[in-house]
Formats: sequence, structure tokens, C-alpha cells
Amino acid sequence: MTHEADQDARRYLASLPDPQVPAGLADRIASARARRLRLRTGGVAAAMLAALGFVLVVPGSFDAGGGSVPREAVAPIHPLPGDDGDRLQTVHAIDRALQAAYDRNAGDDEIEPLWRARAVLVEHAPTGGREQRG
Amino acid sequence: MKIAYLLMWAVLAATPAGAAISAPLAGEKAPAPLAAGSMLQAGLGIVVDGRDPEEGLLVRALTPGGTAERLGVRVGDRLVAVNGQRIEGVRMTHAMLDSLAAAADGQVRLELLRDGQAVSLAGPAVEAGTAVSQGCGWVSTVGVPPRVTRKIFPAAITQINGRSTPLEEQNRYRVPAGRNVLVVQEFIDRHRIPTADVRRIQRMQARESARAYKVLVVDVEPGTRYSIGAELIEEGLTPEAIRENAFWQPVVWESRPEACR
Repeated sequence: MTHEADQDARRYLASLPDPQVPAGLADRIASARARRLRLRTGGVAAAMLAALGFVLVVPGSFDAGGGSVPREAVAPIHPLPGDDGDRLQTVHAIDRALQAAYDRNAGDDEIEPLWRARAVLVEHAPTGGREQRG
Repeated sequence: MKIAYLLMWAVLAATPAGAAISAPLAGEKAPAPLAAGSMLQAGLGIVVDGRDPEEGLLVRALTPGGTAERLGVRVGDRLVAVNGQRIEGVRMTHAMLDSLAAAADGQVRLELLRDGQAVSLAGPAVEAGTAVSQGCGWVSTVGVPPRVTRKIFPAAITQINGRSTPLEEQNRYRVPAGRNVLVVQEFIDRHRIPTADVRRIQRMQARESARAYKVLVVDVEPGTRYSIGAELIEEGLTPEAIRENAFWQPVVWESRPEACR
């Protein structure tokens, strides 16, 4: 298969809608995520306890100044920053997300947060795009 | 590492369906005609619901300044043909629609049903002002958020730019640089919330299901990883605020360089 044909096939596959999912699947996924999270949290806590024990037992094993990854904490900005041009771009981004959700046959519940976000944006702008939710 | 900026809002209120705001946003640039063949990138500037395509695609929203708005398309119209190609009864995705629209040298002709009457609109396609960024970055919910110091707790990303995330949670998700729209579900530690409030939250979430998730818009810089969490708003722990799902908001609690190709 040529590269172009491969790209075409990928685009076609990406454009196919998601299959219909059984009712209640979203709730089951949420429960499974919560379960995994609890397991992960327990694992992290155990690892931290083990690391703490190591630091206490082996003096000099912890070098506070070395090897740390540079990080930057990000403070959320609330409410929306930026001028109307920024908001317009964000409306465009949300519209693309909405369209992708409709394209994959998403349920109304899934799509609702996007509509709410769009409504908040449009509400904060002097004027904005028309909409009609499902 | 600097972030251009981060847009975030907690979704607290819903605008009534059909709220009509017709003029373009202030600050919007005048539309530029498209070069032939570039429509695919700009799109029709329209949100259509094709889940029941028998009578055409239902127009749900018009992107401000987009082609459809400037041609006079209205929310509630049903799109039945693009540049002469009939689309009723066909499962059309946005990419397919844009391909049809791109096939006519920068001109677009739309046929619609409006209140049962056939309407035909035609005109030039316009740029929708969509910036295309190069490169990619990462979003992730893995890590230990600053629970005590900043009241930020774990979260899950359920959608990225309208597409579902895999059912099995990933270490990180690759996203294109630029503005990305995430839908986030909170997993705030329940033992940090008074029992009576936990019950209220459970009732609200049972009622709302996926509607209780919130949107986070992140401007992703190339080669950067963003850690996503759920911030507990302690003053939001009132019965009314919980009913309105106002006790938390999605946030980026950390960003750091991470190669992405």
C-alpha cells in the first residue's frame, strides 16, 4: 500500500462513526475508572511510603538539589481571559469538537458539556454564534 | 517553559436552547475569500447533526463568521445538498461535507429545507479564522496532584476534541499543538468532603450522568505535557452549588517539557 493510499485509508477509518453503545455503559466506565483510580492511588501511597522509609534508613540517599525535572505550576485563569478574537477561536475549537462528537454518533449526554461551554462563551461575548442543542 | 495562556472555565450555567445571537463577534476579521481547494481546511463553519439523516442534516449551530452564517443558513435548517450532491439519508461526516464543499473553486451552493420549504443559498467560501499549529504535546491525568496545598484531585479525560478517549485509561494522550477541547470527569477524594455533601453529589451525578462532566480548553504548546486535575471549590459545597455542579472545576495543575513527535 502506498503512503497516500495508507493516509486515505486512515482518514476514511477516522471519519467512521462510533458504534452504538449499550445503555448504562457510561456509568459502568465511570465506575471502572474510579476503581482503577483507587488502585492507582493505593499503589502511589505504598510507593511513597517505601521511598520515605528508604530515605530515612539510608542517610544521604536524597539529594534535594539534583536531577529534578523543571516544572511550572499553572494557575487557572477564571473567568475567560483574552479578547473577543480569542473567544472566537475558542468557539471555533468547540464547534469542531461538537461536530466530531456528532460525527461519531455521540449521545446527547456526552455532547451536553460542549454545548454548555459554548453557551458560556457566547454569553460572555458581546455577540456570538447561534445554536440549538439536541 | 512558558504557556501562551490557558483558557479555563467551569460550566455553571446553560444557555437556553435556541438563544439567537446573529452578528459576528467583535474583533472578528473581515472574511477573506478562499483560494480554490483550501475549503477542506476552513470548513463550512457549521455544526450539523447527522445522527438521523433521513431528511437531511439538522443545522445545530453556526460558527461565527463562517461560510454558512454568511450565506444565510439558519439554525434549525436541514441541509440536503452541497454543490449539487444530495446528502439526505447518507451518513455524512464533517470531513465528507467539507470535501463536497471544496469541489467548486471556492464557491459553495447549499440546498436546505427551512420550515418544510426548499431554500437554495450560494456564495464564496470564507476563511473561518482557524489557526493551524505545528507540532504536538501531551495531556495526562496520571500523577499525584497537589491535594493538600491546592485542593486539586484526580480526574479523567473522557473526550478530546469531540472524540472519546480509549476505555482503558492511558498514561498520556497525544494532542495537536494549539487549542484543544477536553471533557473532564472529577474524581475528588470523597473522604475530603462532608458525608452529607457526598450524598448530594452522588444524587446529582446519578441524575446528570455524563452531563456532569466539564470542558477544559487548553492551549497546547509543542513539546509540552499538561497534567489535568479537578479542583475542589470548598465554598461551592452548598446544597444549591452541588445541585448545579459548581463544587469543582477542571484545571491544569502542572506543565513540563516532554518531547512529542
